[in-house]
Amino acid sequence: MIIIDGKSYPYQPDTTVLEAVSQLGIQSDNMVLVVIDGRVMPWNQLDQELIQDGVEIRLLHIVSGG
Amino acid sequence: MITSYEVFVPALMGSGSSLRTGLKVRELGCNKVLVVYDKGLKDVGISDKIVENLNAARIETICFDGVLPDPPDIMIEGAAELAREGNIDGIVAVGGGSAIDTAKGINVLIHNQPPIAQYFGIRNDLKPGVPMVFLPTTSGTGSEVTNMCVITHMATGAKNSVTSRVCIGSIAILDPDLTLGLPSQITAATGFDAFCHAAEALTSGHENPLSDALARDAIRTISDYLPIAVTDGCNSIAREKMIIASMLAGMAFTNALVHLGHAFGHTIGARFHISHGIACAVALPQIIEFASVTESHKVRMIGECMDVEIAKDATPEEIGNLTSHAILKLKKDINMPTMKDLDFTLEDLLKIAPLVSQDLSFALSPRRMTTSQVAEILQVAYDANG
Amino acid sequence: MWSTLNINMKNLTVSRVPFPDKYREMGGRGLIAQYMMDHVPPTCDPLGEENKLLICTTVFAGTNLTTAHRISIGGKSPLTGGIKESNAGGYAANLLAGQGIRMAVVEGLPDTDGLWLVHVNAKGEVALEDATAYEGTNNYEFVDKMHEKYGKNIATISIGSAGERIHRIASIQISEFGEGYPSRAAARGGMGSVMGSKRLKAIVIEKPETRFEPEYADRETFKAVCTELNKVIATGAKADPFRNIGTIATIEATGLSGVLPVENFSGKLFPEYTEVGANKFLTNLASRGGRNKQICQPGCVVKCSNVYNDKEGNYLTSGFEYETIALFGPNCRISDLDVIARMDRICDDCGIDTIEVANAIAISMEMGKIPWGDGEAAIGLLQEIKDGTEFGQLLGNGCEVVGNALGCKRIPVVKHQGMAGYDPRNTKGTGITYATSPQGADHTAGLTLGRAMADTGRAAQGYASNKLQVAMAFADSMMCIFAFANCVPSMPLLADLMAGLYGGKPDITRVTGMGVKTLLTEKAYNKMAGMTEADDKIPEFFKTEASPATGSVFDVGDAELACILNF
Repeated sequence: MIIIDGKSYPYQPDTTVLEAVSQLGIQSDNMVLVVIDGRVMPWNQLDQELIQDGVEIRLLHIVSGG
Repeated sequence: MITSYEVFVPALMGSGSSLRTGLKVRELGCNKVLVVYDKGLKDVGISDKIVENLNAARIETICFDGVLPDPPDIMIEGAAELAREGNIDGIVAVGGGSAIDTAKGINVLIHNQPPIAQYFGIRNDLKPGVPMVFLPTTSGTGSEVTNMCVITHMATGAKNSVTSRVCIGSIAILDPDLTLGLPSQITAATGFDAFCHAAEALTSGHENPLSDALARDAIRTISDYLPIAVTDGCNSIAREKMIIASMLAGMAFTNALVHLGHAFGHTIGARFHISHGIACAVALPQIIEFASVTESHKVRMIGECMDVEIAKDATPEEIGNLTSHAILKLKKDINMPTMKDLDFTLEDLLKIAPLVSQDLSFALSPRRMTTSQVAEILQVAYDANG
Repeated sequence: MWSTLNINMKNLTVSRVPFPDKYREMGGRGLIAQYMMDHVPPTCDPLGEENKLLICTTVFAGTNLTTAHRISIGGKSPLTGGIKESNAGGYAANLLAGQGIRMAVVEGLPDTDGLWLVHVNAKGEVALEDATAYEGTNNYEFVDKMHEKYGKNIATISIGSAGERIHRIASIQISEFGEGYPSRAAARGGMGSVMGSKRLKAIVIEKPETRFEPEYADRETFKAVCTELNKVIATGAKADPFRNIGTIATIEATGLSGVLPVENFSGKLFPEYTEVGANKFLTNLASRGGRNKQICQPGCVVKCSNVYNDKEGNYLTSGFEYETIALFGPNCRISDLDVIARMDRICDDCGIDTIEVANAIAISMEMGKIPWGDGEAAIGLLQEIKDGTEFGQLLGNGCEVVGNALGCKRIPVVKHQGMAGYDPRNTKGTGITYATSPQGADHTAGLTLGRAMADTGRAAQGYASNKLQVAMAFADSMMCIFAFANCVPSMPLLADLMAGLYGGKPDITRVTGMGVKTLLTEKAYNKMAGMTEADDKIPEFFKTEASPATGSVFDVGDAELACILNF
């Protein structure tokens, strides 16, 4: 299983992080940070990394600045 | 300034071009399409001709004739259900903006779950739909070449839009023959809507050279031919010019956006239940004059395309004034209903002033307008009785 | 009944008087605006007799609304020459509220040499005490001494040597809740120099024996709505990068888009930004015993603060934020997070605005005074401020002063105040805010990143700036803007809170009207202070130099800027 924003999804081998996130209807957005197992990954690298079973992905939304 | 032109729809144009609908749908790889139109078009026989043309090209058709003006979301959701059950692989819409926007809304829901209201806004994340072919019968909303559909959210009564790649047609077929029977008043209202699209696209502050070129041509054409189309609906040259001008204006604004004219128009239309084109016309002359302070070089283009003589050293205020008078004159030439005809009282009109700024198009104004300036403009428009 | 703490530095007296009823429903930025209009002549000398230093909390002071105890410090700015409200987190506002103090007004200049501090003890007694023993003591050492003297249950509002030397970019440092580090900065606009001109070293507030309770019009309703709103904010904060990482997370959005300032706002990209980005930060925290998700005031549910340790695991700095990292980092071509943390520490210690001085250092690099990217040399310049050298004096007066002294043509200021970590060519709405905000180049006044359409385009940017400036003006009267950003979906609840606390109808226009009124008051004040439309301008180089990252220039015209704050 993989976890995206606290919800579990089946793990599918050979899936990139981009594919995993896109299935939720989320597309590249500068104001959304993709955090994989505690590490921020830029959107343009998401299609280069395959997800591992058990990975935790969080989508953090920038709402302010300072 | 760096600009972009991104929304483009292929077009087939000319008298008789609707006779190639079946061929074009075939070329798109469709075998079974949903044909979308309103009962009015059925009554005048236009929709039957298109369905026959499709069937002759061995395209299976399911018909949805329930298009309503200001398409309600629940109507679209019902039609989308029909489309999904029918396993259609294409949509053909024939009619005015309502039919085309209905088709677009259906396309949003082919592969994205209802309700459609959740998709209001600019959406880059929707799953693609099926090919769409649009045959406008008004000139017009330009919806056949835009990337948005305007829908009424019945729960709140408010109109909103979905702007997405899913709303872009695969081809627009612009057959002026389909507009020959359009009544004079509707010709005027829809024609002026196209004029507003072009004028606002030119002055949005978000424009680009391509949109500018398209908008200028639209303005020239509409100025010359709309009065003729209104008074002589059977004039095929005027109809041909107008359907193209409407498309050009649509191409211009889908890339350069509209602003205050539509903010006023949406608000006035919703409050007084008058048609979109007439509502947008109410304050356009004054709005263009207002925009001239920051966009005078573009307002000059509007004026010059309307054959107004503007001195090289004219100030932004002078340019705005001359151009707004020309627009006022166009409204008179096409017998647009005046304030008196529309039966507004000034008091009624001023009451909507705070609501104008709630419209999304207001945010796109090239020059910030306060609510009291909205009221001033409404006052001036009322006094001009244009 | 709330009190005002009147601190008269001419008479050397301090007293509590009733807080005026006319300001009853005001707080933070809104209160400062109205008070300034009522009591401080706009043409006064900011470092003179007539200017006042105002210190206040928000409209929700004394309640349980999360982050209601934000501190606002205001007056006429010696940097901008206009009205200034500079806010910060920390513990002081919470303790001032606990002491029943809604506002402190520092006025007058002493006739004699000396240095003083105000002490509010646990019983609520106030005294003006001799502070000459602390002259030249910087904030960290000062706080340690205050802890020795009064214990740890205190909060401090203090200036360091920069404020004592009346540097125009001197900050006022507020101690954080918990360890009490003086790392929360009311940094912008040189309020530290106003405090220094009045020879006030600090205000030290002890935790009261009995906490003051405000009067509620409808306590039960207020409590219920407050609980709900706190929950909404806490829920939003769960997905907020500021909570999960810290404000440094912003660099992940700005680093790739050309918004992050690089090399004195050259508009270039800086691929090495990842060396000073979120992942590096998190790695350093984890491996050195640092912490994020820290609160700077009790009851905060956003928890954006942090404690950053050095390689040996010893405390280095806290409240280590995006602006400091962006402007000392990529804007100076420095890619070492530890060096930047040391610079943050020095600035908090001597009490100086990191945004201003970082811009000044970037200008110094551009003009060849020190090499680009040389962190140690940059630290050397900060040391010069501490040491009071001739160049240090220049640095202490802001990047425009340094730029003019070195003959730099590219000085990123509006109303003489340095720009924050957002290049206005690539977030045009923010550029519009920089230009038109009465506060000067202030990103917190209305950051439009990701709000309108394309950040590098013009469409809807003016609209976004206008809307955000209004929102920030009332948010800064109520709570921390990071908490506010997470309560936007439930904004009507703020109206319910106002009604529950102050009575009257729960009407959202009471809240939004606060924002409009504050902006109009500030604008009017600035006009009377002599500012004109000419002050609402972005520096010319942003209009002529295209950002190499995007090709964008700042092309929002003067006529459009002129009506951004029309209501």
